[in-house]
Amino acid sequence: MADSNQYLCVVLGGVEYLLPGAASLAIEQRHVLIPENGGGPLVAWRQSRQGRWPVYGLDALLRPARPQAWQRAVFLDSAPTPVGLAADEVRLLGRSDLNVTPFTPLGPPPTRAGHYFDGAWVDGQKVVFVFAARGLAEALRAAGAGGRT
Amino acid sequence: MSAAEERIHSLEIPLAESALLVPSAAVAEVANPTELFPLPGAPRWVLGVVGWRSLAVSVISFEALLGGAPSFVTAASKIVIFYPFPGRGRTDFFGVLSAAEPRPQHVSSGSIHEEDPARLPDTPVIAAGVRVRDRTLLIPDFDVLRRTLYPQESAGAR
Repeated sequence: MADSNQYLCVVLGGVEYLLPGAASLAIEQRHVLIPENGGGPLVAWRQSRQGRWPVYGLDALLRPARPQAWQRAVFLDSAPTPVGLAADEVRLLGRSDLNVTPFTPLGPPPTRAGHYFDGAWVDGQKVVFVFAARGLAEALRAAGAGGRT
Repeated sequence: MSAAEERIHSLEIPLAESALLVPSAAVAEVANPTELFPLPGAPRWVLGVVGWRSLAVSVISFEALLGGAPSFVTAASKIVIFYPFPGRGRTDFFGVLSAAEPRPQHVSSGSIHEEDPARLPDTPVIAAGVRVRDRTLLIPDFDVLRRTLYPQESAGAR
């Protein structure tokens, strides 16, 4: 689990995103999770004392997907249960290594919980978006509900 | 020169099939296009995001905002970076993709003529049109543009 002084660099379909460390409840390796072979974006479950936490796949543009090469799941707080994001790769980065600035996406938010992002890190001319935890959790919930947000 | 004939320093922003006329004071910089990063969940008129002065700046297609096909970057394109709207965060710059190098226009009431509204795009994003040297230039309604770019702001105010 990351702390508030860290960001998680989460790779989805080859694209890097950042998630504030404090937003993650847990990070698990794929092999310790229960695979879900039913098709669709639900790819695994985490069995916890509080129940089963679903893990969903998203592609690089955050559309529901069933990734093949995912290695870890990052769990976010969400009601009624935490929800997991299947990531190709997860790395820890210190906040001091990054210069994250506020970023407000234009247009209507894509989820009921708001926009997917609330910050960005610009490294030279490369832009890495920073997830807004509530927006991401809603995107994962929507993936489980068939894409409805 | 009377107050009514005061010259306004403006910028003509060429679009694919028309052009905008905006106050120069609203523009922070005209930049060369760099890599546009796709923004998941964005409307079709957001072409992507560029890195500019350590900030992430969304770039919009005014053509798409007017109901047409989204524009795309060509060798002649520029990105016109606008200052944040009053009251927005200091980082809320936004860009408009220009089809070519924008041109300064020093307009006054004597040098422009109002365009027939029937010849303007039927959208609230355009407040008016003027004819300058036989060209029609579209003047955005910045209040409507702000509500389009930041609809949550409007919802929060209700």
